[in-house]
This record gives sequence, structure tokens and C-alpha cells, in this order.
Amino acid sequence: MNNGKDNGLKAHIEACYSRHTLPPGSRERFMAQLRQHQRKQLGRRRAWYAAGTASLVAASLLAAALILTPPEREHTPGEMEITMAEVKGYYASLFMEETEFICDLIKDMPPQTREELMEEVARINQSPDSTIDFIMKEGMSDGEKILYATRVYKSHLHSLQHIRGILSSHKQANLTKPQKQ
Amino acid sequence: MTAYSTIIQGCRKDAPGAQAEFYDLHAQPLFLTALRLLNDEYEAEEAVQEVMLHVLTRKHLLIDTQADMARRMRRMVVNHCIDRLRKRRVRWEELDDKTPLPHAEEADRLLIREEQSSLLRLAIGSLPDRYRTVLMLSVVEEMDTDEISALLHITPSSVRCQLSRAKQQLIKWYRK
Repeated sequence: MNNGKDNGLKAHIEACYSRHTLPPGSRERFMAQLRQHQRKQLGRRRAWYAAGTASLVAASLLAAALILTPPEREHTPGEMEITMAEVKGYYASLFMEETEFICDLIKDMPPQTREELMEEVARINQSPDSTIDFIMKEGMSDGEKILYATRVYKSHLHSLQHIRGILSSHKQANLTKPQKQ
Repeated sequence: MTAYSTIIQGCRKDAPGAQAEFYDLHAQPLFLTALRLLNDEYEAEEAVQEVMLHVLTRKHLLIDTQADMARRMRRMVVNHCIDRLRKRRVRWEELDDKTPLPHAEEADRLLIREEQSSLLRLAIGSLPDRYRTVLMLSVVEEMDTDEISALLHITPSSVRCQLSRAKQQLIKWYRK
């Protein structure tokens, strides 16, 4: 079918609309809208960073306390032996579960906010291993290492649970908010 | 670096001056595209501003060449207008009319012969939303039948039929 590419109808239609211009003050209205949007975006980012930073500070304080606290006791023969890999695997599955919960909570958010939150969660998830590397010292027994690692992982799990709690209560609050008419 | 890419660099850094220049460069042609589809100045301005806001707050959508950026935003405005028309509950029906319709080229010749642009503007404004959309997408946006059918979720034969009916209604309006 001829879709009007060459027969001049397009030019004819364009010409009859060409006298229309954007309403006066359009640019000013747009710039105000843009500023408002950027302020909102910044506010959301700051709230998220505040929550993330608080969790990281708590984890760092705990790690520092651990360095100063000696391990409670050595393993005694006959006790069930646990390896470092098992501890790590156990907590990794819990972290994954928490991360999935968080993903689920943020799935309805705008794409950019969601990406930023996911980046932040990924960053937080990298923190326990670097903390453990930092506090492990040569000459520590396996028991000591496992004890330290368990404490760091546990504290990290609490951080993720805390974030999930914030997001979940935020979502709940949004759900119960009365809908606009 | 071209003047346009300087504006884009400024937009990437959220510089208000660059953002205002970006708006001045692209808003008017986009407004006309939206107006032709929505037939309402207020809604057309709103559609343009929403697309602009979307682009300026998602830096990865910015392109350094003006023509490519204009093409991308024009397509975004078209999609946005279609969404708005759907919210108006415009339905592009499946049509398979067997009644003979005037040949497309003949209809175009008849429409162009009517020289008064203001009359054509009024005639287009009087078309139902669903006919006007198909006419604008085909004639002005130069989309082919398959593209329109994918965009509006109707069969290509319905697109052809609605386009012919739109032109037929315009001719009838003129002859009244």
C-alpha cells in the first residue's frame, strides 16, 4: 500500500499543523518539573545510603570488637568438626535467600531506583569476606577462624535482615496509603 | 566536539543551562508529533515533557548526535501517545471490510488538491482517534503496515482498512 511517502500528503499535513507552537512558559514548567524530580531522586538515594551506611558501620564495629576479643575456647576431641567451607556455604545460602527477599520487595520500584538498590546490596554482600580476610591472622587455629567467621557472617545476615525490614515496612506503608482518585 | 555534543555532555552532568537548550532544540517538533496523534495541545505538551523527563533522568538514553537523538525521542513520543490513547479507551478494532474503497493514491490526490490547510487541520481533528492515529503513523511517521500493526496490536489488514476509512472520511468531510 502506498503509505504517502512520495505523494506530498505528508508535507500537506505537516504544513497544516506547523502554525501550532508549544504553549508559552512550557520550558519553565518543564525545568521546574525536572528539578522536582531530581530532588526526589536525591532524597530516595540519600535514605538508602543512610540505611546501608548504618548497617556497614554496625558490621565494622562488631568486626573491630571481634579483633580485640579472644576466641571463647578451643575445639576438644570428640566434638563435631565443622569446616570453614561448610560455615561459608551455610551462610551463603542464607544471604542468597535474604537477597531474593529484597529483590522481591523492590521489583515494583522504578528501574533506576531498583538498579541502584541492587548495586548497593551487591556491595554490602561483598563486605563479609573482606572483613574476614582483614581479621584473620597467621597462627590462628581452625577453631578460632571458624568462630570469627561465624560472628562476621551472623552480623552481616542481621544487616541484610535489617534492610529487608526497612523495605518491607516501606512497602507496607505504601500499600496501606489511600489511593489517589 | 560539536555544539550538540557539548549540550549532551552538559545534560549528563545535570547542568540546567544544557538541559534548557536540549528542551529548546527538541521540544517543538516532538510537540507537533504528539499534537497530530493526540489532537489536544495540553496533552501533547504533557506527553513531550514526560518523554523529555524520562530521557534527561536516564543518562544512558542520551545520544551525541542530534539526528539520532531526535529519532529516538520521536519514537518514544509516538509510543507514549499510543499509551495515552489506550487510556482514553481508544480501540483499534480488527476490521476486514469487503466494501470497495477508493484507491489510496487517488484518495491522496483528492486530499492534496484541497489547498486550504486550515480545512485539512479541521478535517483531521474531526476524525475518530483510532482513524487519526493510523493515518498519522502511516503518512507522517512513515511507518509501514507491519510496524503499525505491531504497535497497535491489530492485523495488517485492519491497519490498511482503517487507513482507507480515515482517508475516505476526510474526503467526505471536504465534500460536505
